[in-house]
Amino acid sequence: MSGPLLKVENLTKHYPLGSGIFKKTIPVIRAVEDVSFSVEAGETLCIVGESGCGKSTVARLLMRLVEPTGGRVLIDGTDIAGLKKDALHAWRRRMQMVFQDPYSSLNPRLTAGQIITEPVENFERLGRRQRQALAADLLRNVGMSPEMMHRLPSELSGGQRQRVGIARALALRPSLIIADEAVSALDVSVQAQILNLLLDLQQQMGISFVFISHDLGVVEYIGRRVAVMYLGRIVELAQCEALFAKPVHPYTEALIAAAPVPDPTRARLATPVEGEVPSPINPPTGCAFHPRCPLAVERCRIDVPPLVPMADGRVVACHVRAPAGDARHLAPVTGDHPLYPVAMSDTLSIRASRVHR
Amino acid sequence: MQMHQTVGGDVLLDVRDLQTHFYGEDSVTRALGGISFQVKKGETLGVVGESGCGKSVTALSILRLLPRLTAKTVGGQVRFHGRNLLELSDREMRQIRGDQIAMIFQEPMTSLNPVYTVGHQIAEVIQIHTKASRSVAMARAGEMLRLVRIADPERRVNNYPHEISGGMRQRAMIAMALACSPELLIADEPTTALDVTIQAQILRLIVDLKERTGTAVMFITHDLGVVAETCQRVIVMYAGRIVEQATVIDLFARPAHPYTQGLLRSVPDRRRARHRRLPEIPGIVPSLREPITGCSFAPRCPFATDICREKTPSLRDVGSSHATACWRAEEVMGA
Amino acid sequence: MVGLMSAAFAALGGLLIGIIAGYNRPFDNIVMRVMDGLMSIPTILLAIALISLTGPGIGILIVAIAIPETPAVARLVRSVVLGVRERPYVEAALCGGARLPKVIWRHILPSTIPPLMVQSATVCASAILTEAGLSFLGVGVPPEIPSWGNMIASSRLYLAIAPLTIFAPGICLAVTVLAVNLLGDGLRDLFDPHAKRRR
Repeated sequence: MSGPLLKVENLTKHYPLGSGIFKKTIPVIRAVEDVSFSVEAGETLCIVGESGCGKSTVARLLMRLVEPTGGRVLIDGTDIAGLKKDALHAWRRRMQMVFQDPYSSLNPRLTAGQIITEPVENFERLGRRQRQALAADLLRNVGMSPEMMHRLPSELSGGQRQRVGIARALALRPSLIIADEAVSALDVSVQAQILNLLLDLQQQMGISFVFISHDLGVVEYIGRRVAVMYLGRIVELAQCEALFAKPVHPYTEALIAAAPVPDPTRARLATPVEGEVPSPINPPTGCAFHPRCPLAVERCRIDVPPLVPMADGRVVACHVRAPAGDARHLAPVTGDHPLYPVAMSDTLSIRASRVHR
Repeated sequence: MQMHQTVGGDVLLDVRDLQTHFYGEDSVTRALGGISFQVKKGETLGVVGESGCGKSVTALSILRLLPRLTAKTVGGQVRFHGRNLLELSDREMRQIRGDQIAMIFQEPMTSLNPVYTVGHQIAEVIQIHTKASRSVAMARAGEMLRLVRIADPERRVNNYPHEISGGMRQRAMIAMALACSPELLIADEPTTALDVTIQAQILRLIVDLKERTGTAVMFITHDLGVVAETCQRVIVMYAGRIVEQATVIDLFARPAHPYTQGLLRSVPDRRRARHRRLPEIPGIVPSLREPITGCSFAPRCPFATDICREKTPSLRDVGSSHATACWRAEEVMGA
Repeated sequence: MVGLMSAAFAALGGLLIGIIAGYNRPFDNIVMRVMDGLMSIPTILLAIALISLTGPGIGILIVAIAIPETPAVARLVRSVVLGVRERPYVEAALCGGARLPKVIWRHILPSTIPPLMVQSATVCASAILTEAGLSFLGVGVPPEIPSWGNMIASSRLYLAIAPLTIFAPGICLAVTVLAVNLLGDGLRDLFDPHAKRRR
């Protein structure tokens, strides 16, 4: 095994708004803009961000449920974005997806057994016996009893349905599972069951995960590396511990500060970041976060900041905290850097005190 | 910490043995199996539990907003200012709703009328409950929008709900709810549909407004983080009953019911070792269609003994303003 | 008989067009406009025009009634397909490596059946009425073949003497149309998984 299992290069997706027969320029939604990352075999990469940041579009691009506008998706070095239908069919075995909503992602007319064996039957014919054995096997893998295979989705609880969804993803023995908000629709206690199941499966089968979520608690629990997205772009990508211990990008910092902490003795509700996520149809110029950013300088309004590598291996796209161009400048600049006005670092340190504890 | 000591004081809302049933074609769901609690003046009471535990039904039962054909409050009292809300006429109830008790819902888009402007809807609430003229009410609507920190309120009063963002809609809902300075605000998962940074803004707003206006808040949520950030006292519900009631500090520090304990432990928390198995609560929530003998949590409970399976525990004190419905609370708290 | 056959043709044609239109953008744009055009032609006029071109006959009658009924079915099927193809379980099937025809057959087609049944029943009922109307006008089923429309037409002359001869086929017609409509409702309940759960 050499090189990463999954490598994404400059992935871009623009959705045209309406048809453009009569209009010269069609407005587009810039859902995903120049996204690059890689996933090693057996590791978990998390993608976090708020709604509209493009994280679900990334998942759909990886599965090629939608066609990318640009960029490459390489699995073991093969670009699947360029594959024809037939070749793609074979690659589908390597990657599977677990969906957010355990209610709508299962066909209400099929039994659990039919649902989980269907992927395999797309590739080979199964006898009745084989099919039952396979279904029983898969159900046992996800901690359900084999008798459940005759149930319809409407006869299962939310957690059981999500287990069926996971069993379906496991059926083809994929090397990579993309989980798009796989536990968001579940209650806390069931969520814990499903997270444990995913971790167990990873250990037993060495599956890689791309885990997409908006819940920082879940991400910190399951992730090894985390990519933070804002308005279609990755703004920070780092090791999980490092990211939560010391976020560098102001948006990452704001996101972590905004997440409610289940501990009433902790300082309450710091000043939250102002404003709302702008529309991806007409994103702000320069750094997309600058209208909400307490650190924004003139340059942020003009240039899109590139992802700059830092000393600890993370990459950050921020003109202020991670200035590009200077090769020696590899240590992250934090809010209390003397170069920046006191007033600015003041607002930040209020939040920072909470973040760094 | 100082904040939590201010709990005491007068009782605003006194719910006693409230029972609500839902009627299916051939079944009865006992959504609320007799719950009792109080909301004191000016406090924030959190109501937590997972889906189907009856927390929203509680709010709807108090305000008598249950669907008439399929649900009925079959027993208990809801005393507000000494009057039992369940015995009031529809007309009297309408006067209380929106004026003295207001409610905000999870999805602001569906609870705002899409064909009227935001200002119009807020002004309408004011006009229903006061004898204010149209122009006075509209001016007050503008003030309310400023109060909930909507930027550029003069312009926003003339916007339709679809023209503003989700966070702003929830702000408008809060403005509408607070327009008549209610004494009690019932917030049913007000931030669940919002993004994290917007959620933080809205939570902050609710806490600030509560402190400024002295409105008591009943905060219904499934998110323990939100409870920890906003509430002073907490009620934990499971299968249509209250299983624990405590100050927020006590609840998180010394949970006395095994369900609360399991719930707190199963939240992924960055302070614990990562990639370790999360402690999970095995099994699933029981169906409320069949009557449950004994403690409804017993089948999932690691502490359960014979008495738990035979006799239903009722709330009992296990500390100052800390009560739980568990036979083995002492062992649970020691664990 | 004519009613059933026309309904079957309209349903099949509509289903085919609807599914293709639901999955193929260019085809959708063109064909649905044509369908809109067809919808604006009155059924009876089109039938009279077609029959006057070819001469009376049961086959042409069925075709003449089926054509203007097809667009309604196609529209319905297309809207169902467009709704269902975005469902996560359809995407999940694609992720599982299913090819498009299989996805349509296994996941999309079953969802179109219940509304299609109801629609076909309505089409069938209106086809029976149209057939009767055409026969009454003398351009439908050839007079030597007995049909309710023909009966009503020939009884018209004797309305004053023997009113029963016109009421009997009339009532039969009404009862049949009602029965077919009720059948459609029943079929929908039978196919709907939600309805089944409630029982």
